[in-house]
Amino acid sequence: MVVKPVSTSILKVFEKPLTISLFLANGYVLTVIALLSRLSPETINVIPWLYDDRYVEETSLRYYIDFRPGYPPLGKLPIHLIYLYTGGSELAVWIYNVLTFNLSVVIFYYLVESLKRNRRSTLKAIILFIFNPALIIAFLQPHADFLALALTLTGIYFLLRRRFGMVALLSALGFATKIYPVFILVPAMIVANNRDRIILVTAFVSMVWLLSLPFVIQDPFMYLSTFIHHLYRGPSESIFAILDGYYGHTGFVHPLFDAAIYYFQFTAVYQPSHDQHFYYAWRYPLLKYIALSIQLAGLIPLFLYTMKNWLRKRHANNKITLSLSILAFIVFLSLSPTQNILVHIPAYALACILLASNQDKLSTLTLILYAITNGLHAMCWSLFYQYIEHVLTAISNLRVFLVALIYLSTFNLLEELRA
Amino acid sequence: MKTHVIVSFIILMMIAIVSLHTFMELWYFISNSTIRITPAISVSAGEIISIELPEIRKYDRIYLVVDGRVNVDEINVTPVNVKQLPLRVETFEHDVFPTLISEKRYMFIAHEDFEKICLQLRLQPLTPFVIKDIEGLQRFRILSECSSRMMCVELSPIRFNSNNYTQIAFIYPFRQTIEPNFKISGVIELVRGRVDYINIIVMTEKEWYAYKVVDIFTPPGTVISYDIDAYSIDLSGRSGEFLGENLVAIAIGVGISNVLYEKYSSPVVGIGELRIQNGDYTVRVEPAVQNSFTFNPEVYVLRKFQPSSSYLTSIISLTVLIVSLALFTARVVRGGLD
Repeated sequence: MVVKPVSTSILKVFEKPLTISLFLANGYVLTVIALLSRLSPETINVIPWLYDDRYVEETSLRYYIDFRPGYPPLGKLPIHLIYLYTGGSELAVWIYNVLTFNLSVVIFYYLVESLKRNRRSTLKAIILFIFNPALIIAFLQPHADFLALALTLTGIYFLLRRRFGMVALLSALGFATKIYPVFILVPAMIVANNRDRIILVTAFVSMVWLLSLPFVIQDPFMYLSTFIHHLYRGPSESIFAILDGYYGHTGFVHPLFDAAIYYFQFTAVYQPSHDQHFYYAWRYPLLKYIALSIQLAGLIPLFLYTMKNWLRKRHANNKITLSLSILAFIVFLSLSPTQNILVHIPAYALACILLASNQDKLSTLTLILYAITNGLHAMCWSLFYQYIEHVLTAISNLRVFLVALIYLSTFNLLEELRA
Repeated sequence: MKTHVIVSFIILMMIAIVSLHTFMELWYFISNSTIRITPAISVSAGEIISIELPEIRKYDRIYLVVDGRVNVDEINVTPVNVKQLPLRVETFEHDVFPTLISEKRYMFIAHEDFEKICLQLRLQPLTPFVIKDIEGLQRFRILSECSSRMMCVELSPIRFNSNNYTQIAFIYPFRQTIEPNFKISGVIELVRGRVDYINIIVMTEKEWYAYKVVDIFTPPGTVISYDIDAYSIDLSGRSGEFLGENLVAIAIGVGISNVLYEKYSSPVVGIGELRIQNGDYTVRVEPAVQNSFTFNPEVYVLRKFQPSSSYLTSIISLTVLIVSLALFTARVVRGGLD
């Protein structure tokens, strides 16, 4: 008599789309990780990626004061604290990864649910989001990607509800995690009225300042070096490649011997060379011009739409502005550090938000092709290392093709939105 | 409304003034934070040399860059409360990365203020090769009395890699595109003890190609001549794949496992003349060591920012102003002050 209601309520829980999504997401990730642990046990060992945590512990240096890690404080410190207080426990890092991953799935679900028309298209978006092979790499390399993604998606969620104070707060938190979530401010500034713009700017600046204060007060240069380094390693195949002619620190094979000194001091003790850039890039010198041209082209639709509204003194539509901003951001990220798969976690998630609601087959096909490209990219360092130069060149070309497909699909979506 | 604009403008102006003041202070630090010293010192192998440094403040870094052919036997800073910072942060052995292959770097951090400080070094003889660890860590001693036609080196492993091996490389930097007639030849002698392997490594920008010339069964006293060209097969079974690639260096890698080291102790390896032929270019690397030479290090004193009371005041003022502006605008925008 008692068993039946319990089993019924359990079954009811599994009828909920969010539960199904979480079940699918964790099931998929755990299955892949279990398979990897069988096939190649060393790849699932995440602790070697925490080499900088080990280094500062051994040398008694302090993050952001004596030593610049690769990421801003909210991205790095949680993992660092886990490392310190669990004695470098791999399980603890995995639990943190799983928790932040689930957080991003839950937020993705609510965001998509609020955008999509029916349960079927929500589930389609969730399934497409989950089966991104780049997610597995984010599990294997703990770099705060899930936390940054969760903050970005929450920012978009509040942007669609025109809660600009929350957008500013989440952009600031995102900025202090992995910088890129700050892009939400662009559509927010376009769709906001003058009063909301003031809230956005002042709230964002004061939040970033307060989050940075503990480090700025002790050593502004080391703190700034973190951001300079992160930006140089970020858009390395386009803007910085052109600005410094591939001389920047961007592709250096992680020696980190500059991490205990300031960026401007590093430029004094180290003579830059083309050699520090990944070799495939400087054998493909046109890449930087092609990438930057396409990145600029990615901005044009948003620019034209904003200008049109401004000239006609009309308010920008929330969804159209967000779609065009996402398009620009995906194009920027996809063609920035071509060697880095991790940028395709936010880019692909945003592509899912942009395209998964589209009824046309082109959108679904584009996302599937995107996921396949990510899969190839994820495997290239281990499986095709001998041919890495050719594989990464092929992937760069595929990304250009993908961007063209995303453009086409976005314009189909905009037609629908206008209708 | 006019009052709100005036108040906001005043706060913004105050933020701008305080920011400018802070910026000037920080800019002054940037322009005075790096001191470069480039002494030229005549040295004899084995003697201790001292380089006097300017006043050091707590947490300043001392950074030393030397020619890779210089073999630093001992390096320390006196007084003692200055610790060496390992330059290897990640497991990747960045020492042999093309840009860094022909130099050696050392960094120290001071843990207190010093008015007078000395960087002390004891150097081994200068060699034609850059001697660097590829796996693990080995102490080496260049033996000048060994042979006139060989450069003899005694090797003592200190730390083994996770694979239980340690490998030291004698690197000759050589930058050229590999031509079809590329050929390396030379002589090696296992003077004493045993090693797991001696490989000749062709280091290109893209890949390393290793050719084994001595193995674990090679008895002491054996002299081995080697010839490597595009037809030679490397340890991965490749032949001629390096043609057209950009050569970075030729290296002689000596590997010792912990099992072998426990059994045979420190081996001595003799490296004879190395000949490299590529296109129209031929180079002969004589294994001569120099006991007296001129040492030209680059020493940097890299200042660490120490927040002054003026800086702290500026930052606190900026914080108060920024938060005030945010709260004020939030109230105004919500109509709280209307």
